[in-house]
Amino acid sequence: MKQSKIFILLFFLFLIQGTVMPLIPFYSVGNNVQIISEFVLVALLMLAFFGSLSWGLKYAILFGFLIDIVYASVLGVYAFSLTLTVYLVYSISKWVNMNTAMTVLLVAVGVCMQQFEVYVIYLMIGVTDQQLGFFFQFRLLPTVCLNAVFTMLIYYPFRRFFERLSDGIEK
Amino acid sequence: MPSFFSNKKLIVLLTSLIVLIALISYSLKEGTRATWTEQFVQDVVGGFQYVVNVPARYVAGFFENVSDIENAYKENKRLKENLTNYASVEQENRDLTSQNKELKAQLGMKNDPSLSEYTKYSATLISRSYDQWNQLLTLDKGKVNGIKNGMPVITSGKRLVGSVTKVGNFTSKVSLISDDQNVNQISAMIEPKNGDTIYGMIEGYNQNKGTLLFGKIPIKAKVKKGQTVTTSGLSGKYSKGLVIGTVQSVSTDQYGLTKAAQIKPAADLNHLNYVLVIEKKKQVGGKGN
Repeated sequence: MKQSKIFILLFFLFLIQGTVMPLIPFYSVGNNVQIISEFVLVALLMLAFFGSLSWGLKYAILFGFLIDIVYASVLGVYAFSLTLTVYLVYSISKWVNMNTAMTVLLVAVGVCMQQFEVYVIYLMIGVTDQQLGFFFQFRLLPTVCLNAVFTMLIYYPFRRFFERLSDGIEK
Repeated sequence: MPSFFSNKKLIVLLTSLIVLIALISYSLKEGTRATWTEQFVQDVVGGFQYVVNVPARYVAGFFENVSDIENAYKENKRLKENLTNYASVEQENRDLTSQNKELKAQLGMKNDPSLSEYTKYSATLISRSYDQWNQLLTLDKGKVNGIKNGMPVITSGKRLVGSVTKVGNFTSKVSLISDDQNVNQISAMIEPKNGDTIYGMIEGYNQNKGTLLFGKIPIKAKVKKGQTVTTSGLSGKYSKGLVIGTVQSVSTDQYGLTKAAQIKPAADLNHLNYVLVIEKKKQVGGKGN
């Protein structure tokens, strides 16, 4: 039952990313600005922080493959990088004291990592030929901002939700 | 202090890297063929996307209407100016059409569908990939509705948007012309007012400028700013006469052997709601192209 609640929540965010977010006219902010919503990643990171890591990793693989199949053309890239990002950021989070500011900061780090991993892999296999300067200037910064704002909005409800879920099981 | 990678974790990482590389090479090799798992997932998710998308689009449409009303006055003024030319152009068009028909009849081509004839399937956009690296759309029509792999996709006014790359039973994926994996296949041309047709290839998309690269133009061709680029129909994949865009600037390519032009896409690729998937009418046999 708990599992299905998490799945529905993540699946809803996954749908929002592809259907609602492209409708919002971000391109009117600036000519070249690319603002990418990584809501699934944000939720997965919070799940790993406040729920349990093993759930976070499991859902990272699952939703990574979903993203690969539905929104991308090459399989495996998102599955790999999402899982790696969740694991790495969780490893960092063990050293620090979790509060709102720290969570937002760690999510920002996670979004940067995720974007960079996918960028490097896509660059190697030739899906994109975006320049590195363009990537840092017009893509990374606004993307991190959007996702940081999103994290602040969902911090309290998500934290309570995941903590209550993880109370039931032993970590 | 926990360490990032112990021995066991290193093995897991390496194994997953191998799996990743295997999956990537598999999907690059497989190209446009969708396996049944992919089709199944795509169709199921597509159903949910459709449910979320309809109200979202409705709300977005409302805000769009508000901004449209603001622009209506300006647009109206400009359109009135254009309207003065309209009558003469329409008359000319009618003359040319009838003339064309007569000439075709004389040549005995009447029952031979030309390259530019096609059937249309209208489709609604239900989602698009959110990272801008993959330029993919998902449509709400699939195999059941007659969509097949490789069909060109256009918007109103015959403006080329992309082509269908993966078909599920109820949904299909469209790769936009701004997608780097797709573009190198479009054979394009410019028909100047006087002089010969100029042929070339659409070779890539520049994300910084938002323009397509129209390359392989003969060095002597007179390409000017503002000319319209259309598909030539030579490649067989895209039918003839679909508008790709207008020339923005012309330069010589890096070897100095051919010319290259930057082309502004005619369709607003960020702002698509409804599209048409077109299928070339089958040749009745006889004359092959």
